[in-house]
Amino acid sequence: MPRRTWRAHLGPCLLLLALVTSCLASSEPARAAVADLTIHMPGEAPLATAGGAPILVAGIWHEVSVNLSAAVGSVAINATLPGAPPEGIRTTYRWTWDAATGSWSDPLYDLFIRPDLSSADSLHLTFVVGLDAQALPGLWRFLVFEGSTLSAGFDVAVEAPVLSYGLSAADFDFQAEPFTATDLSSRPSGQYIRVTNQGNVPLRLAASFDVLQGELSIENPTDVAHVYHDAHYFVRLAASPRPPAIIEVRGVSRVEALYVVPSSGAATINPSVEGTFSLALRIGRSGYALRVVGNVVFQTLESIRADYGAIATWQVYISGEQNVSLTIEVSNGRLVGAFAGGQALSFPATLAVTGNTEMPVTVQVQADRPGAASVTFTIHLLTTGDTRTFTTTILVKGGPPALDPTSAFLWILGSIAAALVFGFVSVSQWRAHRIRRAGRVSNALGGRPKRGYNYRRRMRSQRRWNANGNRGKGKPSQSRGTRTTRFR
Amino acid sequence: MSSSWLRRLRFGRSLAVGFLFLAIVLSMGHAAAPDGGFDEGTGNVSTVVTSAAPTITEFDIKNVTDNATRMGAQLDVNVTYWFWLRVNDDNNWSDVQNVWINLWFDGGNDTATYDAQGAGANYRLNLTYNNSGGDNTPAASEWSVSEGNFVYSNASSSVFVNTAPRDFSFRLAFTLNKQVRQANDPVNSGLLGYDDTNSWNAQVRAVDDERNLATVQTNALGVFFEFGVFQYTEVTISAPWLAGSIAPGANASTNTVNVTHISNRDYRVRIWFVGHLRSASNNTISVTNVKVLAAADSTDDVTVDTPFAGIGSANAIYLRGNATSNESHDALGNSQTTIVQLNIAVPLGTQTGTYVATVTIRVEQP
Repeated sequence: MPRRTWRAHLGPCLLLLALVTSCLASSEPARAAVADLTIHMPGEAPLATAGGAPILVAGIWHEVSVNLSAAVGSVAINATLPGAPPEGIRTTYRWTWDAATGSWSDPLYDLFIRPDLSSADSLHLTFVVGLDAQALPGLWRFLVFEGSTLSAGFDVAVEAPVLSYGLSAADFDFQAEPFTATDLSSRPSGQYIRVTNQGNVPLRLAASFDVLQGELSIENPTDVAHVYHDAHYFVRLAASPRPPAIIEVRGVSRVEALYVVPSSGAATINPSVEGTFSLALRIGRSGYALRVVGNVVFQTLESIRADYGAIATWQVYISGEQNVSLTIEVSNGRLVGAFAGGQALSFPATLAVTGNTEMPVTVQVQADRPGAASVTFTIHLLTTGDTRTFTTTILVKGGPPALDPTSAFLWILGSIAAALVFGFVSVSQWRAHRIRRAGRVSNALGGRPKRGYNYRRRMRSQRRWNANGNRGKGKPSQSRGTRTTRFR
Repeated sequence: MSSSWLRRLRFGRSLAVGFLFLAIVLSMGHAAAPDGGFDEGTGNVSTVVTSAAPTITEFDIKNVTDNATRMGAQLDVNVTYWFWLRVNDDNNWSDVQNVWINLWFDGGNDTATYDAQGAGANYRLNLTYNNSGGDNTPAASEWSVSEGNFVYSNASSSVFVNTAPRDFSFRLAFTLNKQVRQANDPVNSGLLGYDDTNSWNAQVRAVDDERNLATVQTNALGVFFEFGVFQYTEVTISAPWLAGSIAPGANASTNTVNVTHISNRDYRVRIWFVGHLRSASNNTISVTNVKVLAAADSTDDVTVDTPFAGIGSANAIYLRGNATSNESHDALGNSQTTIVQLNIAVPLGTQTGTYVATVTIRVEQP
């Protein structure tokens, strides 16, 4: 296109653009009467997109509040999805308020407004309205009219409803002493339930337990799981006195969507969600392991520590609804004895147990061998015939000293050398003994016995002493000069 | 003194001498034992600096909120915790090549090692430090997730200098994904090894340029690193089930609804009606007129169109698993989806109106 021609068209284009702009502007005249518009679900904080547009979730009732700067006679809100074909409940809504009659209405469907919950004063209107769950998500345009005059327009982000519920739970493990009232909280141990609402729908929350309903509770419960929010709850147990037992509890946390807008179709099926969690109440002595066989509970220690050679003494407890036969066996240790009711037990021992009391059995085991010893308790229920074994480990501290390999090797070498020396000495002694014996025999036969170095030395000294007329001091057999000693 | 006594005396003297010899020999043996020694000599001074393996002196998992340890307790999924770690290298930090924080689910076998745990990303986690530049100033950004379904936050992590340039502490923020395997609260963590079955085990390894490898599996008291993971379930439903107009005597199918479910161990998913469909005029349609359509999802356990036998959990239909068996935990992914579509038959004689009901979906772990 030639430059002159292009410039010739520029003027009309700008004029057309100005006209279009002015027309668009005049379609939503900025009137001072409507100051702002806020949207939120009942009991929830307003939600907004990153760009600041308020969020409205389809299928859920919302409070749409219009703040006025001056009193007006009537207000209407038209909500549409720009650019979409008019598809009724999927794209188009209208709600009205009439000051003269105080009436609220949904003239299009007579379904998506709650007159009973909507309210108005002179400058503030709150429409409790909703879109059908089938309304198309997108950036809608909400236009506010005073009478028939458009007062203001707002972009509103419409989202599809999402129900999302997460339940996180610790291994709740409560311990209560037998026959003792208990009031426990999971808070000190950091065991909690975490309820997470990651959807855009507020949820009604309820929790229940299949047993111990009157004794288990959620601390500081709330009945609403708020949108995009999680909350921690601790569990409290206020239990009455009970005999030893392990009680397994299944907890159920249930949520369902709040403020659901009824659909206009033939049927609407709304979802709710349940999550489960487990608790265990262990009624038994602190530090003891509970073992259950039939209707009998056996309490023992998982492990105990004992010094090498010492006698370990502890008590186990049996309670239940039938008599039992008890056998105790020890491996890598010595069973010193077992006593119940002041009497020594011989095995198998028949014990009369009840559910109302715990029968203590005192066990004594000597850790007479290094390493771990194990004590096996065999419980045989005399009525039902059930048999179970339980084990307590005795961790033995210390023991006979052990040599390291190097030292052991050197000790072996030394022992061999010592044995050789002993052998040599013994042979020498034996030979000397034989020679002396042979000398005595020879002397007895008239021969001259063999004399040793010391003998010859003493004889030389004797001769010298005799030659000097016994003038010396001391006896010649006593030491003179350096003396050497031969092993004999 | 008789000769017999004399002989005994001499024999005793020989015995004593033998013992003396024995003592001397044994003393020689002990003296020869390798209990140290020294050499002396003259010549040029020559020193070879030995390569010292890195030492890992501290490791723990702690709460972000109160810095309390979680080792020996349970971690929650989708909650941020800190690894606390201290590593020293006497050859300076540039000698450190890699540090690995290994976490693995023992699968019921305490002797299972990290390397042997091959079930998948929800069973084995590895946070790796890579000193790619060989520098002396480690940075939080040099840590990364090399294996497993968890998130490491570099921005929330810190490095502390104990003794530059060789001794550093690390505070590393991490978050377990929601399907990381649930594990029991360890109650027996002890000195003899990993001894809590069905728990997570942890170890830290560090290697230097000379391939000296240090591995730590216990704290300073010798207690092995074990922890558990909370159980977690989650359900996300995209929309209600809606049916258009249905004439009496006809039936219609609802929209399909994506039910996204998460479980960090074996699980079951079932669905049931809380009550019958009811209109504003209090007319009802029995739920026995509603069935779950098998064609909606070919992967679930509904293989034929299945009507509800009644209301309540006793009449639930299992979408995943059944009354006696569970759906296996997904070892790899972060969620699964089951598509659910219902069909509603409106009996003849039904009054006009919109009928509403509530269904419950439960994800439960055994």
